[in-house]
Amino acid sequence: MTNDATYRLTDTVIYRDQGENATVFDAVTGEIFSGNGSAAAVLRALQRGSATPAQLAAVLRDEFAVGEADDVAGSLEAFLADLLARGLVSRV
Amino acid sequence: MTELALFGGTKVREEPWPAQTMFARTDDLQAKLLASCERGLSLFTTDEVARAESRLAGFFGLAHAVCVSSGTAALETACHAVGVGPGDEVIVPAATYIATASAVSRAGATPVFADSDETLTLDPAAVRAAIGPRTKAVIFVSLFGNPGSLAGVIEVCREAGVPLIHDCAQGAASTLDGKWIAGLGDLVCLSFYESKHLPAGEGGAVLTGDEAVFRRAKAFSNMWELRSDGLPTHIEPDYLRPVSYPAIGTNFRMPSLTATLVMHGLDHLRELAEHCHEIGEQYRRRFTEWGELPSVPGNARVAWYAQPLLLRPGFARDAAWKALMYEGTPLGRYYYTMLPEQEAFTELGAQEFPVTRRLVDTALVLPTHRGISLSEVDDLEKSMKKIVDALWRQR
Repeated sequence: MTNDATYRLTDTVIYRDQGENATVFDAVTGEIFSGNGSAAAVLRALQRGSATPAQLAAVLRDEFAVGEADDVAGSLEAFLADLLARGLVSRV
Repeated sequence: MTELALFGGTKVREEPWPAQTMFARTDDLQAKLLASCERGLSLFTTDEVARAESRLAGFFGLAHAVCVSSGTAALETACHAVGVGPGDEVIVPAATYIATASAVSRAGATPVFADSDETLTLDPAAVRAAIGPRTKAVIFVSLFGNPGSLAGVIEVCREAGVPLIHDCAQGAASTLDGKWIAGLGDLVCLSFYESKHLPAGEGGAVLTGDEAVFRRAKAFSNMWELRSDGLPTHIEPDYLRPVSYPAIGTNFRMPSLTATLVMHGLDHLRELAEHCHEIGEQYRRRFTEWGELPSVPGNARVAWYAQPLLLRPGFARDAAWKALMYEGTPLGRYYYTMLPEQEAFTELGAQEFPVTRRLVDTALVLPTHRGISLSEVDDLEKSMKKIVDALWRQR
Protein backbone atom coordinates (compact mmCIF):
# COMPACT_ATOMS: atom_id res chain seq x y z
CA MET A 1 0.00 0.00 0.00
CA THR A 2 1.29 3.41 -0.82
CA ASN A 3 0.17 6.61 0.81
CA ASP A 4 -0.86 8.19 -2.47
CA ALA A 5 -3.13 5.28 -3.49
CA THR A 6 -6.85 6.03 -3.56
CA TYR A 7 -9.45 3.54 -2.35
CA ARG A 8 -13.17 3.12 -2.86
CA LEU A 9 -15.83 0.54 -2.10
CA THR A 10 -16.01 -2.08 -4.86
CA ASP A 11 -18.90 -1.61 -7.32
CA THR A 12 -20.66 -4.81 -6.26
CA VAL A 13 -20.56 -3.93 -2.56
CA ILE A 14 -23.73 -2.98 -0.69
CA TYR A 15 -23.21 -0.64 2.26
CA ARG A 16 -25.43 -0.34 5.31
CA ASP A 17 -25.05 2.13 8.16
CA GLN A 18 -26.54 0.64 11.32
CA GLY A 19 -25.72 3.33 13.85
CA GLU A 20 -22.67 2.13 15.71
CA ASN A 21 -21.95 -0.48 13.05
CA ALA A 22 -21.29 -0.26 9.37
CA THR A 23 -21.52 -3.33 7.12
CA VAL A 24 -20.27 -3.95 3.62
CA PHE A 25 -21.43 -7.02 1.68
CA ASP A 26 -20.31 -8.04 -1.79
CA ALA A 27 -23.46 -9.06 -3.68
CA VAL A 28 -21.40 -11.32 -5.97
CA THR A 29 -18.78 -13.02 -3.83
CA GLY A 30 -20.65 -13.02 -0.51
CA GLU A 31 -17.70 -11.41 1.30
CA ILE A 32 -18.93 -9.47 4.31
CA PHE A 33 -17.41 -7.18 6.90
CA SER A 34 -19.17 -5.49 9.76
CA GLY A 35 -17.41 -3.23 12.23
CA ASN A 36 -17.88 -0.46 14.73
CA GLY A 37 -15.67 2.35 16.00
CA SER A 38 -12.78 3.24 13.72
CA ALA A 39 -13.63 0.48 11.21
CA ALA A 40 -17.14 1.90 10.78
CA ALA A 41 -15.69 5.40 10.40
CA VAL A 42 -13.41 4.25 7.56
CA LEU A 43 -16.27 2.44 5.79
CA ARG A 44 -18.51 5.54 6.15
CA ALA A 45 -15.80 7.70 4.64
CA LEU A 46 -15.36 5.31 1.73
CA GLN A 47 -19.13 5.19 1.22
CA ARG A 48 -19.06 8.99 0.75
CA GLY A 49 -16.43 8.62 -1.97
CA SER A 50 -12.91 7.52 -2.78
CA ALA A 51 -10.18 8.47 -0.34
CA THR A 52 -6.45 8.13 0.24
CA PRO A 53 -5.00 6.57 3.41
CA ALA A 54 -3.92 10.05 4.50
CA GLN A 55 -7.48 11.35 4.17
CA LEU A 56 -8.83 8.34 6.03
CA ALA A 57 -6.25 8.79 8.79
CA ALA A 58 -7.36 12.41 9.12
CA VAL A 59 -10.97 11.25 9.52
CA LEU A 60 -9.92 8.94 12.33
CA ARG A 61 -7.87 11.63 14.09
CA ASP A 62 -10.82 14.03 13.92
CA GLU A 63 -13.43 11.54 14.99
CA PHE A 64 -11.53 9.79 17.74
CA ALA A 65 -9.23 12.60 18.88
CA VAL A 66 -6.11 10.49 18.51
CA GLY A 67 -2.77 12.22 18.32
CA GLU A 68 -0.07 12.06 15.68
CA ALA A 69 1.95 9.77 17.96
CA ASP A 70 -0.68 7.04 17.78
CA ASP A 71 -0.10 4.48 15.05
CA VAL A 72 -3.19 5.34 13.02
CA ALA A 73 -1.39 4.83 9.71
CA GLY A 74 -0.18 1.33 10.63
CA SER A 75 -3.60 0.11 11.76
CA LEU A 76 -5.26 1.68 8.74
CA GLU A 77 -2.78 0.06 6.38
CA ALA A 78 -3.57 -3.41 7.79
CA PHE A 79 -7.32 -2.77 7.66
CA LEU A 80 -7.28 -1.56 4.05
CA ALA A 81 -5.05 -4.46 3.01
CA ASP A 82 -7.58 -6.89 4.51
CA LEU A 83 -10.53 -5.22 2.75
CA LEU A 84 -8.55 -5.14 -0.50
CA ALA A 85 -7.67 -8.85 -0.25
CA ARG A 86 -11.33 -9.68 0.29
CA GLY A 87 -12.40 -7.57 -2.68
CA LEU A 88 -14.53 -5.22 -0.60
CA VAL A 89 -12.49 -2.16 -1.58
CA SER A 90 -10.66 -1.44 -4.81
CA ARG A 91 -7.85 0.88 -5.78
CA VAL A 92 -9.07 3.69 -8.02
CA MET B 1 -38.71 -4.42 1.67
CA THR B 2 -37.51 -6.38 4.70
CA GLU B 3 -33.88 -5.83 5.60
CA LEU B 4 -31.61 -8.82 5.15
CA ALA B 5 -30.47 -10.55 8.32
CA LEU B 6 -26.85 -10.00 7.31
CA PHE B 7 -27.52 -6.24 7.61
CA GLY B 8 -29.14 -6.71 11.02
CA GLY B 9 -32.70 -7.39 9.84
CA THR B 10 -34.98 -10.07 11.28
CA LYS B 11 -34.03 -13.62 10.29
CA VAL B 12 -36.52 -15.68 8.32
CA ARG B 13 -35.94 -18.54 10.74
CA GLU B 14 -35.00 -18.38 14.42
CA GLU B 15 -35.55 -22.10 15.07
CA PRO B 16 -32.35 -24.18 14.74
CA TRP B 17 -31.84 -25.68 11.31
CA PRO B 18 -32.15 -29.49 11.41
CA ALA B 19 -28.96 -31.52 11.39
CA GLN B 20 -28.33 -33.51 8.24
CA THR B 21 -29.40 -37.11 8.67
CA MET B 22 -30.76 -39.97 6.62
CA PHE B 23 -30.76 -42.27 9.63
CA ALA B 24 -33.98 -43.97 10.76
CA ARG B 25 -34.21 -43.63 14.55
CA THR B 26 -36.58 -46.45 15.36
CA ASP B 27 -37.46 -48.34 18.52
CA ASP B 28 -36.13 -51.66 17.27
CA LEU B 29 -32.60 -50.40 16.65
CA GLN B 30 -31.23 -51.18 20.10
CA ALA B 31 -32.36 -54.80 19.89
CA LYS B 32 -30.84 -55.13 16.41
CA LEU B 33 -27.48 -53.84 17.62
CA LEU B 34 -27.44 -56.10 20.67
CA ALA B 35 -28.23 -59.13 18.53
CA SER B 36 -25.48 -58.08 16.17
CA CYS B 37 -22.99 -57.94 19.02
CA GLU B 38 -23.96 -61.43 20.13
CA ARG B 39 -23.65 -62.80 16.60
CA GLY B 40 -20.79 -60.82 15.24
CA LEU B 41 -18.30 -59.85 17.91
CA SER B 42 -16.54 -63.16 18.24
CA LEU B 43 -13.25 -63.63 16.48
CA PHE B 44 -13.37 -65.11 12.98
CA THR B 45 -17.12 -64.80 12.75
CA THR B 46 -18.28 -62.93 9.71
CA ASP B 47 -21.93 -63.87 9.81
CA GLU B 48 -23.25 -60.34 10.14
CA VAL B 49 -21.24 -58.97 7.21
CA ALA B 50 -22.14 -62.02 5.11
CA ARG B 51 -25.81 -61.44 5.95
CA ALA B 52 -25.54 -57.82 4.87
CA GLU B 53 -23.84 -58.85 1.62
CA SER B 54 -26.56 -61.37 0.91
CA ARG B 55 -29.31 -58.85 1.65
CA LEU B 56 -27.70 -56.10 -0.45
CA ALA B 57 -27.29 -58.42 -3.43
CA GLY B 58 -30.85 -59.66 -3.16
CA PHE B 59 -32.34 -56.22 -2.54
CA PHE B 60 -30.69 -54.56 -5.52
CA GLY B 61 -30.93 -57.58 -7.81
CA LEU B 62 -27.30 -58.45 -8.48
CA ALA B 63 -25.74 -61.81 -7.74
CA HIS B 64 -22.92 -60.66 -5.45
CA ALA B 65 -22.02 -57.98 -2.94
CA VAL B 66 -18.76 -57.26 -1.16
CA CYS B 67 -19.02 -55.05 1.92
CA VAL B 68 -16.06 -52.75 2.53
CA SER B 69 -15.05 -50.00 4.91
CA SER B 70 -16.22 -46.93 2.93
CA GLY B 71 -17.64 -45.73 -0.39
CA THR B 72 -14.13 -44.63 -1.33
CA ALA B 73 -12.86 -48.15 -0.58
CA ALA B 74 -15.68 -49.54 -2.74
CA LEU B 75 -14.51 -47.45 -5.71
CA GLU B 76 -10.89 -48.48 -5.26
CA THR B 77 -11.93 -52.13 -4.87
CA ALA B 78 -14.04 -51.90 -8.04
CA CYS B 79 -11.07 -50.51 -10.00
CA HIS B 80 -8.88 -53.41 -8.88
CA ALA B 81 -11.67 -55.90 -9.52
CA VAL B 82 -11.78 -54.98 -13.23
CA GLY B 83 -7.98 -54.95 -13.45
CA VAL B 84 -7.34 -51.20 -13.56
CA GLY B 85 -3.62 -50.55 -13.16
CA PRO B 86 -0.65 -48.49 -14.31
CA GLY B 87 -0.90 -47.32 -17.92
CA ASP B 88 -4.70 -47.53 -17.95
CA GLU B 89 -7.21 -44.72 -18.23
CA VAL B 90 -10.61 -44.53 -16.55
CA ILE B 91 -13.21 -41.98 -17.64
CA VAL B 92 -14.82 -40.06 -14.77
CA PRO B 93 -17.04 -36.96 -14.50
CA ALA B 94 -15.32 -33.62 -13.90
CA ALA B 95 -17.81 -32.73 -11.17
CA THR B 96 -18.22 -35.18 -8.34
CA TYR B 97 -16.63 -36.06 -5.02
CA ILE B 98 -12.88 -36.56 -5.34
CA ALA B 99 -13.08 -40.25 -4.36
CA THR B 100 -14.38 -41.16 -7.82
CA ALA B 101 -11.16 -39.94 -9.42
CA SER B 102 -8.73 -40.58 -6.57
CA ALA B 103 -9.69 -44.29 -6.60
CA VAL B 104 -8.43 -44.42 -10.18
CA SER B 105 -5.16 -42.70 -9.27
CA ARG B 106 -4.62 -44.94 -6.25
CA ALA B 107 -5.01 -47.97 -8.53
CA GLY B 108 -2.10 -46.56 -10.54
CA ALA B 109 -4.16 -45.43 -13.54
CA THR B 110 -5.03 -42.01 -14.95
CA PRO B 111 -8.46 -40.44 -14.53
CA VAL B 112 -9.75 -38.92 -17.79
CA PHE B 113 -12.30 -36.23 -17.04
CA ALA B 114 -15.42 -35.76 -19.15
CA ASP B 115 -18.24 -33.23 -19.12
CA SER B 116 -21.82 -33.79 -18.04
CA ASP B 117 -25.06 -33.04 -19.86
CA GLU B 118 -28.24 -31.29 -18.72
CA THR B 119 -28.86 -34.11 -16.24
CA LEU B 120 -25.55 -33.18 -14.51
CA THR B 121 -24.38 -36.75 -15.07
CA LEU B 122 -21.78 -37.97 -17.59
CA ASP B 123 -22.68 -37.05 -21.15
CA PRO B 124 -22.75 -40.24 -23.30
CA ALA B 125 -21.31 -38.30 -26.26
CA ALA B 126 -18.42 -37.04 -24.11
CA VAL B 127 -17.75 -40.58 -22.90
CA ARG B 128 -17.77 -41.91 -26.47
CA ALA B 129 -15.29 -39.20 -27.49
CA ALA B 130 -13.01 -39.92 -24.53
CA ILE B 131 -12.81 -43.70 -24.98
CA GLY B 132 -9.46 -44.76 -26.39
CA PRO B 133 -7.17 -47.78 -26.55
CA ARG B 134 -6.04 -47.31 -22.92
CA THR B 135 -9.57 -46.98 -21.50
CA LYS B 136 -10.02 -49.71 -18.91
CA ALA B 137 -13.34 -48.60 -17.40
CA VAL B 138 -15.87 -45.78 -17.14
CA ILE B 139 -17.15 -44.59 -13.76
CA PHE B 140 -20.64 -43.09 -13.99
CA VAL B 141 -21.89 -41.12 -10.98
CA SER B 142 -25.62 -40.82 -10.28
CA LEU B 143 -25.01 -37.33 -8.95
CA PHE B 144 -27.52 -36.12 -6.35
CA GLY B 145 -29.35 -39.44 -6.85
CA ASN B 146 -30.27 -38.76 -10.48
CA PRO B 147 -29.57 -41.67 -12.86
CA GLY B 148 -29.54 -39.02 -15.61
CA SER B 149 -27.82 -40.42 -18.67
CA LEU B 150 -26.91 -43.78 -17.13
CA ALA B 151 -28.76 -45.75 -19.82
CA GLY B 152 -26.90 -43.91 -22.58
CA VAL B 153 -23.50 -44.41 -20.96
CA ILE B 154 -24.23 -48.11 -20.39
CA GLU B 155 -24.94 -48.38 -24.12
CA VAL B 156 -21.70 -46.58 -25.05
CA CYS B 157 -19.71 -48.87 -22.74
CA ARG B 158 -21.40 -51.95 -24.14
CA GLU B 159 -20.54 -50.91 -27.71
CA ALA B 160 -16.92 -50.23 -26.73
CA GLY B 161 -16.55 -53.37 -24.61
CA VAL B 162 -15.52 -51.31 -21.58
CA PRO B 163 -16.86 -52.16 -18.10
CA LEU B 164 -19.10 -49.59 -16.46
CA ILE B 165 -18.57 -48.92 -12.76
CA HIS B 166 -21.67 -47.19 -11.40
CA ASP B 167 -20.79 -44.88 -8.51
CA CYS B 168 -24.18 -45.03 -6.84
CA ALA B 169 -23.09 -43.48 -3.55
CA GLN B 170 -25.90 -40.90 -3.77
CA GLY B 171 -28.42 -43.02 -5.66
CA ALA B 172 -29.20 -46.07 -3.53
CA ALA B 173 -32.85 -45.07 -3.16
CA SER B 174 -33.63 -44.04 -6.76
CA THR B 175 -35.36 -46.20 -9.35
CA LEU B 176 -35.55 -46.47 -13.13
CA ASP B 177 -38.55 -48.26 -14.61
CA GLY B 178 -39.42 -49.27 -11.05
CA LYS B 179 -36.08 -51.01 -10.45
CA TRP B 180 -33.38 -49.79 -8.10
CA ILE B 181 -30.64 -48.01 -10.07
CA ALA B 182 -28.16 -49.64 -7.69
CA GLY B 183 -28.73 -52.79 -9.73
CA LEU B 184 -27.49 -51.14 -12.94
CA GLY B 185 -23.89 -51.37 -14.11
CA ASP B 186 -21.21 -54.03 -14.44
CA LEU B 187 -20.18 -53.05 -10.95
CA VAL B 188 -22.09 -50.80 -8.55
CA CYS B 189 -20.42 -48.93 -5.70
CA LEU B 190 -22.48 -47.91 -2.68
CA SER B 191 -21.54 -45.65 0.21
CA PHE B 192 -22.85 -46.00 3.74
CA TYR B 193 -21.43 -42.67 4.91
CA GLU B 194 -23.69 -40.93 7.40
CA SER B 195 -25.19 -38.52 4.85
CA LYS B 196 -26.17 -41.28 2.41
CA HIS B 197 -29.45 -43.15 1.96
CA LEU B 198 -28.07 -46.24 3.76
CA PRO B 199 -26.27 -44.49 6.61
CA ALA B 200 -23.96 -46.49 8.84
CA GLY B 201 -21.44 -43.82 9.80
CA GLU B 202 -18.99 -45.19 7.25
CA GLY B 203 -18.93 -48.21 4.98
CA GLY B 204 -19.47 -49.19 1.39
CA ALA B 205 -20.14 -52.09 -0.93
CA VAL B 206 -19.37 -53.32 -4.41
CA LEU B 207 -22.20 -55.14 -6.18
CA THR B 208 -21.78 -57.16 -9.35
CA GLY B 209 -23.34 -59.93 -11.33
CA ASP B 210 -19.96 -61.24 -12.48
CA GLU B 211 -18.54 -64.12 -10.43
CA ALA B 212 -14.90 -63.47 -11.41
CA VAL B 213 -15.16 -59.74 -10.66
CA PHE B 214 -16.77 -60.58 -7.33
CA ARG B 215 -13.90 -62.88 -6.37
CA ARG B 216 -11.31 -60.26 -7.27
CA ALA B 217 -13.18 -57.61 -5.26
CA LYS B 218 -13.50 -59.92 -2.29
CA ALA B 219 -9.82 -60.88 -2.36
CA PHE B 220 -8.46 -57.35 -2.93
CA SER B 221 -10.46 -55.88 -0.05
CA ASN B 222 -9.14 -58.62 2.27
CA MET B 223 -5.39 -58.34 1.56
CA TRP B 224 -5.70 -60.42 -1.66
CA GLU B 225 -6.01 -63.42 0.63
CA LEU B 226 -6.79 -66.68 -1.18
CA ARG B 227 -7.40 -70.18 0.11
CA SER B 228 -5.40 -73.07 -1.23
CA ASP B 229 -8.21 -73.82 -3.68
CA GLY B 230 -7.87 -70.33 -5.19
CA LEU B 231 -11.05 -68.87 -3.68
CA PRO B 232 -10.96 -65.72 -1.57
CA THR B 233 -11.32 -66.31 2.15
CA HIS B 234 -14.55 -65.08 3.79
CA ILE B 235 -16.63 -66.54 0.97
CA GLU B 236 -16.95 -69.75 2.92
CA PRO B 237 -14.96 -69.15 6.10
CA ASP B 238 -12.56 -71.99 6.65
CA TYR B 239 -9.66 -71.07 8.83
CA LEU B 240 -8.12 -74.53 8.82
CA ARG B 241 -6.90 -74.14 5.24
CA PRO B 242 -3.60 -72.44 4.42
CA VAL B 243 -3.86 -69.06 2.69
CA SER B 244 -1.72 -67.28 0.14
CA TYR B 245 -1.28 -63.69 -1.03
CA PRO B 246 -0.59 -63.56 -4.79
CA ALA B 247 -0.80 -59.75 -5.01
CA ILE B 248 -0.80 -56.66 -2.81
CA GLY B 249 -4.26 -55.96 -1.50
CA THR B 250 -5.46 -54.00 1.48
CA ASN B 251 -7.72 -54.26 4.49
CA PHE B 252 -11.05 -52.70 3.55
CA ARG B 253 -13.08 -55.10 5.74
CA MET B 254 -16.38 -53.92 7.22
CA PRO B 255 -17.05 -54.32 10.97
CA SER B 256 -20.09 -56.32 12.07
CA LEU B 257 -21.94 -53.42 13.68
CA THR B 258 -21.69 -51.45 10.46
CA ALA B 259 -23.27 -54.38 8.63
CA THR B 260 -26.15 -54.31 11.11
CA LEU B 261 -26.71 -50.61 10.47
CA VAL B 262 -26.68 -51.19 6.70
CA MET B 263 -29.40 -53.83 7.06
CA HIS B 264 -31.38 -51.46 9.28
CA GLY B 265 -31.12 -48.92 6.47
CA LEU B 266 -32.43 -51.45 3.96
CA ASP B 267 -35.45 -52.02 6.23
CA HIS B 268 -36.30 -48.32 5.87
CA LEU B 269 -35.05 -47.49 2.37
CA ARG B 270 -38.44 -47.43 0.61
CA GLU B 271 -39.90 -44.99 3.08
CA LEU B 272 -36.76 -42.79 2.88
CA ALA B 273 -36.94 -42.89 -0.93
CA GLU B 274 -40.46 -41.43 -0.79
CA HIS B 275 -39.37 -38.66 1.58
CA CYS B 276 -36.35 -37.62 -0.51
CA HIS B 277 -38.39 -37.74 -3.70
CA GLU B 278 -41.21 -35.61 -2.28
CA ILE B 279 -38.91 -32.95 -0.80
CA GLY B 280 -36.92 -32.80 -4.05
CA GLU B 281 -40.14 -32.38 -6.02
CA GLN B 282 -41.21 -29.51 -3.75
CA TYR B 283 -38.07 -27.62 -4.78
CA ARG B 284 -38.67 -28.53 -8.42
CA ARG B 285 -42.18 -27.03 -8.24
CA ARG B 286 -41.34 -23.93 -6.21
CA PHE B 287 -37.78 -22.78 -6.97
CA THR B 288 -37.65 -22.63 -10.78
CA GLU B 289 -38.15 -18.83 -10.69
CA TRP B 290 -34.55 -18.54 -9.52
CA GLY B 291 -32.75 -21.20 -11.46
CA GLU B 292 -32.67 -24.36 -13.48
CA LEU B 293 -32.83 -27.92 -12.24
CA PRO B 294 -31.15 -30.98 -13.73
CA SER B 295 -33.34 -32.85 -16.18
CA VAL B 296 -34.46 -36.31 -15.16
CA PRO B 297 -35.31 -39.32 -17.35
CA GLY B 298 -39.06 -39.79 -17.69
CA ASN B 299 -38.82 -43.35 -16.38
CA ALA B 300 -36.87 -42.36 -13.25
CA ARG B 301 -38.12 -41.75 -9.74
CA VAL B 302 -35.31 -39.87 -8.09
CA ALA B 303 -34.84 -40.06 -4.32
CA TRP B 304 -32.87 -36.82 -4.28
CA TYR B 305 -29.72 -36.94 -2.20
CA ALA B 306 -29.97 -33.17 -2.51
CA GLN B 307 -31.54 -30.93 -5.14
CA PRO B 308 -29.14 -28.72 -7.09
CA LEU B 309 -30.48 -25.37 -8.30
CA LEU B 310 -28.38 -23.68 -10.97
CA LEU B 311 -29.01 -19.99 -10.37
CA ARG B 312 -29.98 -17.83 -13.33
CA PRO B 313 -27.49 -15.31 -14.73
CA GLY B 314 -27.52 -12.16 -12.61
CA PHE B 315 -27.89 -14.02 -9.35
CA ALA B 316 -24.63 -14.74 -7.54
CA ARG B 317 -24.39 -18.12 -5.84
CA ASP B 318 -21.73 -17.27 -3.25
CA ALA B 319 -23.58 -14.18 -2.06
CA ALA B 320 -26.89 -16.06 -1.94
CA TRP B 321 -25.25 -18.86 0.05
CA LYS B 322 -23.89 -16.40 2.61
CA ALA B 323 -27.19 -14.51 2.88
CA LEU B 324 -29.14 -17.78 3.31
CA MET B 325 -26.89 -18.66 6.23
CA TYR B 326 -27.62 -15.34 7.95
CA GLU B 327 -31.37 -15.87 7.43
CA GLY B 328 -31.17 -19.07 9.49
CA THR B 329 -31.56 -21.33 6.44
CA PRO B 330 -28.01 -22.56 5.77
CA LEU B 331 -27.04 -24.82 2.88
CA GLY B 332 -24.12 -27.19 2.50
CA ARG B 333 -21.38 -26.50 -0.05
CA TYR B 334 -21.03 -29.10 -2.79
CA TYR B 335 -18.69 -29.23 -5.77
CA TYR B 336 -17.44 -25.61 -5.85
CA THR B 337 -14.35 -26.69 -7.83
CA MET B 338 -14.05 -28.93 -10.88
CA LEU B 339 -11.94 -31.99 -10.11
CA PRO B 340 -9.39 -31.20 -12.87
CA GLU B 341 -8.74 -27.90 -11.06
CA GLN B 342 -7.99 -29.56 -7.72
CA GLU B 343 -4.28 -29.44 -6.96
CA ALA B 344 -4.18 -33.24 -6.85
CA PHE B 345 -5.01 -33.38 -10.57
CA THR B 346 -3.46 -30.24 -12.05
CA GLU B 347 -0.58 -32.29 -13.50
CA LEU B 348 -3.15 -33.69 -15.95
CA GLY B 349 -3.33 -30.23 -17.54
CA ALA B 350 -5.93 -27.46 -17.79
CA GLN B 351 -9.26 -28.57 -19.18
CA GLU B 352 -12.62 -26.89 -19.65
CA PHE B 353 -16.06 -28.46 -19.32
CA PRO B 354 -18.94 -25.99 -19.89
CA VAL B 355 -21.74 -27.86 -18.10
CA THR B 356 -19.52 -28.74 -15.18
CA ARG B 357 -18.33 -25.12 -15.01
CA ARG B 358 -21.92 -23.95 -14.69
CA LEU B 359 -22.55 -26.46 -11.93
CA VAL B 360 -19.53 -25.49 -9.85
CA ASP B 361 -20.07 -21.75 -10.34
CA THR B 362 -23.83 -21.38 -9.92
CA ALA B 363 -25.37 -24.29 -8.00
CA LEU B 364 -27.06 -23.94 -4.66
CA VAL B 365 -27.65 -27.41 -3.26
CA LEU B 366 -30.95 -27.76 -1.42
CA PRO B 367 -31.25 -30.43 1.30
CA THR B 368 -33.67 -33.37 1.16
CA HIS B 369 -32.58 -35.44 4.16
CA ARG B 370 -34.88 -36.78 6.89
CA GLY B 371 -34.62 -33.58 8.92
CA ILE B 372 -36.21 -31.54 6.13
CA SER B 373 -39.98 -31.14 6.14
CA LEU B 374 -42.32 -28.78 4.30
CA SER B 375 -41.66 -26.23 7.03
CA GLU B 376 -37.96 -26.06 6.09
CA VAL B 377 -38.80 -25.88 2.37
CA ASP B 378 -41.17 -22.98 3.17
CA ASP B 379 -38.44 -21.16 5.08
CA LEU B 380 -35.89 -21.67 2.32
CA GLU B 381 -38.40 -20.33 -0.21
CA LYS B 382 -39.02 -17.24 1.95
CA SER B 383 -35.28 -16.68 2.33
CA MET B 384 -34.68 -16.96 -1.39
CA LYS B 385 -37.45 -14.47 -2.21
CA LYS B 386 -36.14 -12.02 0.36
CA ILE B 387 -32.53 -12.32 -0.79
CA VAL B 388 -33.24 -12.06 -4.51
CA ASP B 389 -35.47 -8.99 -3.94
CA ALA B 390 -32.89 -7.30 -1.76
CA LEU B 391 -29.74 -8.03 -3.70
CA TRP B 392 -30.62 -8.33 -7.34
CA ARG B 393 -34.09 -6.97 -8.07
CA GLN B 394 -34.22 -3.56 -6.42
CA ARG B 395 -30.68 -2.28 -6.46
